[in-house]
Amino acid sequence: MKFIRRSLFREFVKQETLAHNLHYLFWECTQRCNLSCLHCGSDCIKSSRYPDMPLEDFLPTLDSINRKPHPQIIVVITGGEPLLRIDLEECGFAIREKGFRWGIVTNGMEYTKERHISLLNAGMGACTLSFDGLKDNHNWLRNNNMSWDKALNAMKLMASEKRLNSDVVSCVHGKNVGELESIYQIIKNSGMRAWRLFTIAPIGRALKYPELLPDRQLLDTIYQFIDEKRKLKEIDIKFSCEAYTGKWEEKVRDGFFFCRAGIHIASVLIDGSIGACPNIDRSLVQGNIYQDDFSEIWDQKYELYRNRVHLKKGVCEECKHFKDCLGGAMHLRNTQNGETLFCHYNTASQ
Amino acid sequence: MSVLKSRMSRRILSVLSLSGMLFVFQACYGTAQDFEIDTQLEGIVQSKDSLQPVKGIKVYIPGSDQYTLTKDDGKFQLFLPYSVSYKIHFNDIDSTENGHYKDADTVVTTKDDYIFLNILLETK
Repeated sequence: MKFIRRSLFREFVKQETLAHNLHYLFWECTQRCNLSCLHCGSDCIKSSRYPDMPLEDFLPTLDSINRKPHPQIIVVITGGEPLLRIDLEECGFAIREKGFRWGIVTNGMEYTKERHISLLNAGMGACTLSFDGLKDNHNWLRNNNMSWDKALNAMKLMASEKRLNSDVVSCVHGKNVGELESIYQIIKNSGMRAWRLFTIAPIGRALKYPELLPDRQLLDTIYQFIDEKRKLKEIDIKFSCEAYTGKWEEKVRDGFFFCRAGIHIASVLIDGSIGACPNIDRSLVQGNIYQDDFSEIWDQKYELYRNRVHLKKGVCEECKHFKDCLGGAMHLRNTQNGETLFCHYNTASQ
Repeated sequence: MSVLKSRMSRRILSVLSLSGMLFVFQACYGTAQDFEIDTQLEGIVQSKDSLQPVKGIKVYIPGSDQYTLTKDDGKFQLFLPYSVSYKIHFNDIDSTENGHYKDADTVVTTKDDYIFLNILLETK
């Protein structure tokens, strides 16, 4: 039965790729950040060399998308830390005015009760909070002694609003993997309804900390933990969409792995570049909103995202799972040699 | 026609592969999608006597944490979780700083996702 569903799902992926309807648009509105996390994939800095993108520069992208009928699209405002923008609520109102939904990805440092209310007022419908362990480990990874307390406060605020589609994301590594049960209890007791677990990708600042990267024992522990907790149905816990997981598919998340970068997901990056997920190597951008029409780029480019045969290199070349994995997540591609930076399937026990 | 056929075949494939929920997804480092229904409430608060806009009036719904204050032009806007009806309060919280007005409330029923209110406050 799983074989039949798997075959149908492959066809579904083909059809979705062919249709490539945009559902999800990242906006990297700032690269400023109030933290300097050890594992930061975007390698953002306290004072970016790029100024924040003005709202009026971003809005024509939404106008471009609106020229044709489209499914409901969420604009996910990211950074840097989006709460550092004092005009975030103004941006939110303007995005809603254009007919789009919006949400933010935040470290919670600036997520106060007052900000929570003003964001809800501005029509924020989704929110993702980073929470990386018990106090010492979170503060260590986030490189700030106040970050855990502030994140916990943010978690409680987000969880208190039923209308908000909020969730917690945690980067799991060798130092905090033993805390999974405790983190689970904190999240559950806060009232938060969803939790996604990540591993740390060998990109950005994390390259300087190889001890943070996953190994077989870590992946096995994470997958087993998620599988067990999903059976309890207490909160919606899942592994992130970062990788094909082999025998763990459907056990650690809903459905099968599908990297939707460039298929359903696009981004407008801080310099106006048009890309897919913001953590994908920036050499793979497809255009720039300051020179190109966004929708034309979305319709006519993204070939390397929509035809992934070119990813059949290195460990992927002879892999019998390529038809399901399609080379894995695009952010884990080494753009120098085209090979994967890390294979979750080969690393975990199968 | 071909677009419709394509959409239908994608739906069928997603259902048969028990992946219908995968039209709802979440990017690696992104938020969940948002399909909740909500209501945009906008309006203006004016003095009943002078019809001048009133700044600094607290607009809120009892029982909710959400509130906003009217701006210089007396206008306010906020998004609220969907409800069939809303009881909305208008409260002068800055004493005499922007005039001195009696509190007011109104009940609105709507099938729409947008409400506009024109509120006239009586002077105390």
